[in-house]
Amino acid sequence: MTLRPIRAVARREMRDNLTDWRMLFPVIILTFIVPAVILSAALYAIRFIGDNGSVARLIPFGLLLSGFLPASFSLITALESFVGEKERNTLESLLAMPMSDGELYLGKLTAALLPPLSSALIAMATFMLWYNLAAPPDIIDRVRSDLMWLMIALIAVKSIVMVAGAVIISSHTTTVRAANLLASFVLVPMSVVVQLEALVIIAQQPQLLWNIFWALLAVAVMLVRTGMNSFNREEILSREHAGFNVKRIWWTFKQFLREFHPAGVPAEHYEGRFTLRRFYRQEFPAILHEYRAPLLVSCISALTGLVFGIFAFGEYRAAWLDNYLQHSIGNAPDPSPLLALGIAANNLRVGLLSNLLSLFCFGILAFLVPSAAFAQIGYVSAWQAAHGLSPSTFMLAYVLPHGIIELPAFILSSALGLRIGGALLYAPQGFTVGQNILWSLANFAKVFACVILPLVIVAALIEGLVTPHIVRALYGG
Amino acid sequence: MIEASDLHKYFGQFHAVRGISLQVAAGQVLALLGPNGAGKTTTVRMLSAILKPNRGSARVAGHDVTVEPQVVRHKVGLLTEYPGLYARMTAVDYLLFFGELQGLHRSESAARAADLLKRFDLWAARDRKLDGYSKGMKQKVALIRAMLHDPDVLFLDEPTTAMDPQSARTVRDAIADLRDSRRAIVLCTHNLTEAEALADYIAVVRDGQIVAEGTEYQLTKQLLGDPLWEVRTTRVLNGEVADIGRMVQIEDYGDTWLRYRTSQPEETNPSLLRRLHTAGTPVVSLSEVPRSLESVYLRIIGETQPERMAGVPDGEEVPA
Repeated sequence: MTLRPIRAVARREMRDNLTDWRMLFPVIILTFIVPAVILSAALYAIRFIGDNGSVARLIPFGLLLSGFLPASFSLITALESFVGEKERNTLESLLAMPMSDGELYLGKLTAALLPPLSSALIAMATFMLWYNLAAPPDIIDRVRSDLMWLMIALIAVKSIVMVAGAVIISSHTTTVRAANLLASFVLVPMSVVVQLEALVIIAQQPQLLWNIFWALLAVAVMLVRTGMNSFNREEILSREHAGFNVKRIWWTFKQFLREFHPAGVPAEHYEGRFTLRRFYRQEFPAILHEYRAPLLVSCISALTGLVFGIFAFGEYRAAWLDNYLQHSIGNAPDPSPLLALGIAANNLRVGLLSNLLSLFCFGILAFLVPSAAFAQIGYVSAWQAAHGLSPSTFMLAYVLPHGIIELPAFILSSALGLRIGGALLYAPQGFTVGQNILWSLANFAKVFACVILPLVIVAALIEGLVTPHIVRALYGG
Repeated sequence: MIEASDLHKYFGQFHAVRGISLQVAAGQVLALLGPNGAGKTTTVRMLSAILKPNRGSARVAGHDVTVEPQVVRHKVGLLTEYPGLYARMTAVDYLLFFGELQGLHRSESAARAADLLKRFDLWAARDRKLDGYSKGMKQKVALIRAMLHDPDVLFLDEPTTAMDPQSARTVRDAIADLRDSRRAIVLCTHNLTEAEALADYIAVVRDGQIVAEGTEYQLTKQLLGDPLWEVRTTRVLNGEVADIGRMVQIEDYGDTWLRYRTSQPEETNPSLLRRLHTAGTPVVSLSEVPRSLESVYLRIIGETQPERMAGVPDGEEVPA
């Protein structure tokens, strides 16, 4: 890989964007005017309410917002980086040039990233300049230098995530309109992150922002790598022959339901009929083997959740949670089929929704399910230990009886969801992204119906009918 | 310079190219003719190392298109179906950009761009933004882009589309010059006059296959039979018609003219002239009746039938 074509592609595209007043005008407003407006609004709110302590917490968030708005402008240029050229018929001449796919991808990525990122940094500098000039002395220390650098790092990594995600979308769509519609895959998770950051800033827990930063950095690295791996001339030009055909999509999905073949085997090669016997004897073990990477990620998610739960108990203890655990541990509800039914319904809902919605958030929701389940176990175990109770008693009473079935089912379900989320990012040789999604959805449907559903029902029956007895026996309730 | 053997290309279910083989030597122009969607563009994309063939092999300028795609892309100049220019750039900036991507030094690129812009009468407009160019001017800039790095092989898709006759002549002259300087050229065109004027060899593509190929003469003879000749006289032909009919196959005749076919005009025509002279029938003219490539092309396209899609599983109807 050489720098020259990357630089040439990036320079041309940046020059093209920066000489277009339709792009330049909003960027100038977002860079120089909006930060001043945000700061003025925050200062006005502080003066109006007269409570510096609480309202001044908005100042760091204002800084973050000042950077985020111009950074989000990167979506526009990134989204149309490939598909826009394709619509204007300029892409083929570029694809005919003697540069590698990686060089072309990096050139486009750089062009989409640098101007909005620079604009975001200038906007943050503008905000800080006005803040130092206009803020009253008693709130001048609200943005310390370490917090400011953290904000800058957050904006930089968010820009990379947005641009890398948008470039992937752009290289996998056939029209700018479709790319704009798919932009929600990037915008919605980013909006959630910004809201989370706002909560953390208002709650004055800036150290938590580092966790968000590392998580975003991991996503950014993943997206850039995925983009580089999945981008190729062949796919872009082949998509000219692809059309949206519901009949064809349904036919392909049904083919993938028939039997299991590794990803990349065309739908036409699926010939057998679905049988339960073959599924349990041959296909399910083959699916587990094919899904070994997502299964490993799910296990890591569970382990991370467990460690986070223990860590969270030490760092972020909440009085209301302490009270709740004080009153509920050892006091099991009465065993009943209705309780079992409620548990089964809840677990199935979580499994279904997290997996299907993973399609719209690159599998993040599926990743979070085992984390959340194991974080609860970690937190309560740590709470038990802190209160002189045995964590093993808690595990034996509350987790093991049904958890031995339910937790592997959650991990398996999460792996299926991760594969669904990842399907959009990278299609293996022989598959288009659409076929990859259909393949992962078909596997999810089969495994969910034939494996996860029975496991979750059995686990819920144990949890609703047996676990309360064990809890009472072990805790003497 | 170009050697392709049994090239196949699938786009999912769609079998776009089905076993195309062709050879183009240095200094030769091959015209690929065929209706829209016949597989010409896909073939050219495979030969210019933008798409990988699913089956078959191709070497361009001595390099395998699947093993050394970047080298092939450097050796090839591609004029795409649409000019596809960056509208906000000037012609000079645009060409310098592509020169840089082709690995040319800036000064080398600038000199070559200037030379070609002058040759194609675009020098005066070199600093104007490309969105202000006419369609023909845009096409010329795209052609200059393809020629900028002086490639050994050129793939030209409809090179004279949207050009006025004078510009089209300039481009045709440029293509002829390239042929003379031993470049191998593949011309995809619907303009049969252009193919007639420039091509040394013609291949007609339909449904991803070459359905007819040869020189213009070979194709015409193969499809339309022996050349047709017409003799015109000053007086009415009477007994001469039956007499001539014993020498050649008469296709049609009138009072003072007669059309006939012969596979050996060099022998038949002097004999026929002698016969008319002996009969005292003054001859005004004897000439070959021009037969256009268009009639050959239409005959070929009319004779070949479209085929079904490949890859359909047994017993199952695949939605298109």
